[in-house]
Amino acid sequence: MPEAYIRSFGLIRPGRHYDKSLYDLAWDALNMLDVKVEPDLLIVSNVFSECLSGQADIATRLASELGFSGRPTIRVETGETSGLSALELAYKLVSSGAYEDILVLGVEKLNEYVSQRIYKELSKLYHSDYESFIGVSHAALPALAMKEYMARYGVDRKTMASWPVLMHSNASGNKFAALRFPVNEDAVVSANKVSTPLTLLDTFPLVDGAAAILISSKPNGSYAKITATAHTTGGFAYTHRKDPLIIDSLRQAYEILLASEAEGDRIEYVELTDTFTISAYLILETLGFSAPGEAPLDVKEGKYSPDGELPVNAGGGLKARGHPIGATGVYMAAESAGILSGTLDLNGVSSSNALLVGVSGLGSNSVILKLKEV
Amino acid sequence: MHEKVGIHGWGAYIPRHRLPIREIVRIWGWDEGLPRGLNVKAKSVDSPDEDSLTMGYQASKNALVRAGIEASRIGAVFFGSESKPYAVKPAATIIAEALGITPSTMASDMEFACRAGSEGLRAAMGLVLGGVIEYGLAIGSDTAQANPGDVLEFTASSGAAAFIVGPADENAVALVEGSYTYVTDTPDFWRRGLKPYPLHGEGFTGEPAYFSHIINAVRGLLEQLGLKPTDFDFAIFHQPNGRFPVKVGTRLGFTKEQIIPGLVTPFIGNTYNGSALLGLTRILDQAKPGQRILVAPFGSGAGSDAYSIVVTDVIEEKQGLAPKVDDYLAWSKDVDYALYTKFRGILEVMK
Repeated sequence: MPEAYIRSFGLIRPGRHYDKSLYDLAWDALNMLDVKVEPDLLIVSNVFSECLSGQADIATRLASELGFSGRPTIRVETGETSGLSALELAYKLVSSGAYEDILVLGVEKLNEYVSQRIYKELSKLYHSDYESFIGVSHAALPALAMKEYMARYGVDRKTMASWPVLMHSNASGNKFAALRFPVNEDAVVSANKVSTPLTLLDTFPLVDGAAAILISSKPNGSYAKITATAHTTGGFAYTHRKDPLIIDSLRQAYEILLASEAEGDRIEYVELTDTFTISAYLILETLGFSAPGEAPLDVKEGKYSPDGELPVNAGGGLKARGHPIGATGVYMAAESAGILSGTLDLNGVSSSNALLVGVSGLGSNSVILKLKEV
Repeated sequence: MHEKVGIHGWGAYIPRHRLPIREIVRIWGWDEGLPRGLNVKAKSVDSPDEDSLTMGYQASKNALVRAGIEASRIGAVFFGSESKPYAVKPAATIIAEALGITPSTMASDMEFACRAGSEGLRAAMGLVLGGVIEYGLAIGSDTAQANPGDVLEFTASSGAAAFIVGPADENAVALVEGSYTYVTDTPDFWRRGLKPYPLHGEGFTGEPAYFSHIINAVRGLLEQLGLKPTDFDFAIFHQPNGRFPVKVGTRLGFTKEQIIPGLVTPFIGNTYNGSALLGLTRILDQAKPGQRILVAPFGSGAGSDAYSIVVTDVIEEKQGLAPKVDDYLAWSKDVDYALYTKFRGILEVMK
């Protein structure tokens, strides 16, 4: 069975790219690739093109704009995990022998409108009948989860701020991060309230972004390889979960991933979707890296720092690198490939494997990819 | 550098009612820390029988009293506002008529967000310098709109300032020794036609708009005149809140001692086309002969003007002729949010 390699990757610094369209962003990321791209298939990962760019069938439009007319293309959309889902599909299609070279392009253009409009679109990541319909904002459910977490485990607000402090510190050493400035716990706690107890610094910046990865069956010159994936869905409505602090779909996905590996090796590096501070803690605890209620303290004590026992999000994560929704998973894979190949210095982290963990909307679906060095 | 133009009269008007910012926090459930960061305690609210036109008239009347000239000698009336009572029909003609300036005069309304009044001032100065008119009246007046619950609601307030400019003769209370304007197409804040409330362009506000334009305008003026911040006794900047003017001023090299006396926003909010011009009237209320004033209004869209003004010997005899800004600040009565919605016509009432 062919293997699936990350043959090349390219990414642009996420930010408010007012002067660039969705197509400009994609073009810029594509031009960062260090090989001539002649894909058998283009997979586009994007969530909001209909809502914010007025374009349906975005994959065909991009194929046309980028000079890939004549080749097949498909768009993948699974909310915040879209990028990882696109990579998973590419992995499976290459592994199956259906294609040899697949270009995965994650691109999202959020900053065409004021944030009020963008947040309205983001709320659609939650259940449209039970949640967003009644006015639940994108931050409201994570805020409730955070409140429950603090009450159940007796964690104070300042300790909860450990995650954004680490992410901003990590982003300071990432040239591809949107927010390259440090913050301390007091700044996080005293920042503007978004949805109590969440503050502005517990959330990701609204950024535009694009990242491209060429998945190939040919190992020559590759940066990493994808060795395992798992993809599950949970109950769509967060309010229908059995336990708001356990991400069922992620737990199930991780079990599937571990079962698929002939021999499990120790995870040395993790990239996860820290959409909000609480998201990071719930993911770390659901995966068993931290005991329930202990993730904030583990972060504070350096367990997940670049020089810690298990470095996580060495480039600053969604919190500080930025969260260009449909492109985010591709960024995670690109940065990890850079670490595994030693070609991208993210705070000195080196690793022989990486676990990419994606969770959409607090667990409506979860996708995990395992990468290894080549 | 251009020839000097005289300021002959100045006048302010601030409506009596004040909405304490804590009321907006109470009604909308804002984080209490947010208004503290704005450095605004209350905002002025126009009464049901007031609008930008009536306030502009009152400020102009105060300016005319100080100028001590026959109204009919005014040859241009420019009314700068983004809250005109009529979308089509000039407010300037109504004010001109009420003051006895008509019919032998130019009159028009200006629109450039918060710096329309300042554009009117520059236009009037130009007409005086060109010998087209003897005196000109420039007014900045607003009953500023803000979507209830929007962050703009904390500061959008009501007030007016007016200036009569004319020859640089012995009756001028101050001489404008230089002015400089800096504009670009920057979409930081706008209100589309037939929409009741403005929107703000988030990432385009602040640094690329307010700070960039004011800094470039002031630097352009200082370079033109060969002056430096220490040459000025007072520095007044557009006042969208109580924090930005101090920040932009200190970045330009001015001290808080130069900036604070002209700051009125902490007491009444942002009067939009009033704003910096009201700050200038407050300084003229108290200025001494020979003092030099920098004033830099800003308007979204975006642009800023910078003026250097030197006070003459006759100012002190004019200061007491009309109510001062501080008189209006003291003439205040708090209202609650309910009365505010009634006064502002926010409540939808079937008639």
